[in-house]
Amino acid sequence: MAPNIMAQCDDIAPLLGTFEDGELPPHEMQEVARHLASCASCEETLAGYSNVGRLLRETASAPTLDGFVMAVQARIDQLRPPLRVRMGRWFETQRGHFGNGMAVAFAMAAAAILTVIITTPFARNMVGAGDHAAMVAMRDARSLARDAKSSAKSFEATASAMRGEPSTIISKLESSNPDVAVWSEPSQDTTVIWLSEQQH
Amino acid sequence: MNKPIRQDGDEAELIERAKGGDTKAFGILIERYQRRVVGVAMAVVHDQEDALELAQESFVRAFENIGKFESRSSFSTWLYRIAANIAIDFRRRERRHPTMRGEEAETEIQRLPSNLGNSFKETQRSEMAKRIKDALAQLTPEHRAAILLREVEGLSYDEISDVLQCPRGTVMSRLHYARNHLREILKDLAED
Repeated sequence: MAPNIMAQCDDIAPLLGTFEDGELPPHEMQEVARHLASCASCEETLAGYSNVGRLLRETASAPTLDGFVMAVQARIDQLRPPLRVRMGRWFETQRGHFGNGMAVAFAMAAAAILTVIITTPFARNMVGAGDHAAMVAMRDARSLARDAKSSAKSFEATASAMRGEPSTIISKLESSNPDVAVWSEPSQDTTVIWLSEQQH
Repeated sequence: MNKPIRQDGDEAELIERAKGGDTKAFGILIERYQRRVVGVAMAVVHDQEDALELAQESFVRAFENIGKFESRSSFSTWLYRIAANIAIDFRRRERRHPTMRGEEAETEIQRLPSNLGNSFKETQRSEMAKRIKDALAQLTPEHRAAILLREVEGLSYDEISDVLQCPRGTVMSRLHYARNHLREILKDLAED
């Protein structure tokens, strides 16, 4: 709306209520005020709006609010507070009973318990993995021991065949390691050291 | 231990305490805004008894959700929006399942002169109240809510726009329509 041209009633009419409420931008406020100064019809409309507002305010029945706050608070008291609030209250109570040091101790204990609860499944998995590794190692060791025994028998048979003897007396098996076998034959003044293939 | 709360305590502090579950601090906020919240509900449902019930519900809902309130926005507008939403939902349900009300009887009771003052002025006031109530009933709920929020509750256009969740331009056009309509119906009263 150009400020220097006198606005027509049709342009001004939709702005009258907003003018009355003081919600127009400054330049439109000025324009409407200028128009009203010279337009009895728009001034009458504006007065009508003001009267409607006054009537609405005068006859608005304000309900009695006695006991309203108490009624709302009674309803709120029936609500279960959120966990955050309940924990806060509990710590507040503990602090009241035992002082700050105890409250900190309680907090640390609670944190430790929570940590244990949270980390237990992971720990169990880790322990399980360790058990599994041990079982595999034990099985491998047994298997190697079996292999060693079988190799020893085979070696013994071969040696006997070469010497033309019915059998070789192995006087002493000296190693407790299943991967290494040591035979001593004092009569022949011989010591045989056997290593499993995995050792090479 | 918490500091004692004062009736004129800082709003931000009261909100923070209410967030921590302090119902006494929230009680002060209820005290401050109860009239306006009832007014917002009244503007939408146009029934005193329902408005009171809905306002209570609004405060309970506000307390339950106060943790989500961000202090950057205005607490009052947030509260009014909750009230308007609850009242609009209620009105929608009522429209689908209308219930019988004692509204007419109540109006008749209001029209009867009281024992204390059987004055002409009082009767005249009751007549006027009924005329205005009937005139408001002719408006759509949207127009009625806008005009009552502005004229009775004194909300700004931005607040009305926020509460009724419509653009500011829509608020302006609703107010313009409602004012013209009421001015026409209440011409004789408005000219007194």
